[in-house]
Amino acid sequence: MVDELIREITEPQDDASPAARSAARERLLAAADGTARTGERKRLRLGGRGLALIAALLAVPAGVAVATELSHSGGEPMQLADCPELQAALAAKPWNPEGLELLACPTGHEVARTVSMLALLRAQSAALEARTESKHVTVVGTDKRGPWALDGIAGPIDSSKPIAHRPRP
Amino acid sequence: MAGKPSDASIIGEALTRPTAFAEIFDRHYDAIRDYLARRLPSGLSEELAAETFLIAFEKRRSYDIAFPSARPWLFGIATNLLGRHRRDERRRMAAYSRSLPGAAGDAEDEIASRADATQMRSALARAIAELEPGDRDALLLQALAELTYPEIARALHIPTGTVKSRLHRARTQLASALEPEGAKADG
Repeated sequence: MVDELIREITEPQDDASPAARSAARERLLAAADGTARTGERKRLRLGGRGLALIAALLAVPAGVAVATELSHSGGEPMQLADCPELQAALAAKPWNPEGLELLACPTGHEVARTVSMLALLRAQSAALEARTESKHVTVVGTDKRGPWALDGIAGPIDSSKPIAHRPRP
Repeated sequence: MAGKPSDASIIGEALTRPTAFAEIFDRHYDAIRDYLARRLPSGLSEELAAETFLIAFEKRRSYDIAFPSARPWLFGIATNLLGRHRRDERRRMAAYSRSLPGAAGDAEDEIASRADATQMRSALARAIAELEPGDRDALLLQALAELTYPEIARALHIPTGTVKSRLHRARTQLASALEPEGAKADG
């Protein structure tokens, strides 16, 4: 009986609006399409379409951004656990893969390429950490889908400004 | 004949085909909107319902596919969003209580029964407004969303035992508020 009373006294004050429902659905679909979600995270993509990683994996020290936003990505990043081949390859490395996210799982020969790229980026990051001057960082490569490049500029350690970036063809 | 896919399988599909998540919206929007509209002043429920599904979409990767129905998960997100509107919710209940015609003074026998019902609603609205937020969430997830103990636990991320104690406390308070004045004095 109490629950019935609760339902009575909480009767909605206004009718459901089909227009609001439709607008909410559109917002959801827009987010799903990756086209209109406000606050959508910008993701760092490496290696063009296939190999893609988010900056967290680089353990980039504060102020030393090695971040090139080659594009917005509408897709949800994958976790390392979703990519068993890469997970197995990284297990042998003395790295902490926490925070590693991928837009696609590398497979086959791409796994070794990804591991090499991570090693290179980690080395670059570590080298930059000890410096205060600006540093231009470029990592390039080719995979079966064509050439890819990471092109970024690292700033001073204490820099709090965004780092300029420039994608390469 | 294959039945409808579970919410869990749709959410799984939405990991690789994000627009599949629209099916979750189609299945549950009305219930979520109704729940929010029952707890908030007019005008807020639709915005929060829309936000509920956007958040659910963003969190779809963390959905535990061991649970076929996404209802508790979605009600949990909606309830969490309500946390920003506790004051609005209390205000709504208090306004409801004040809006009812006072029963005191309605001494005519023929309207006594109606007056009692009015008093009861008013007391109930006041009592709900005065509940601890966590107790109110558990109570209204049960009374309005009709979730079970384990589902409420899942929605609020608390143990089932805590759900039971919250509901017991809330219902005891409501029962006390609904007791006739004379019975309270006697007790």
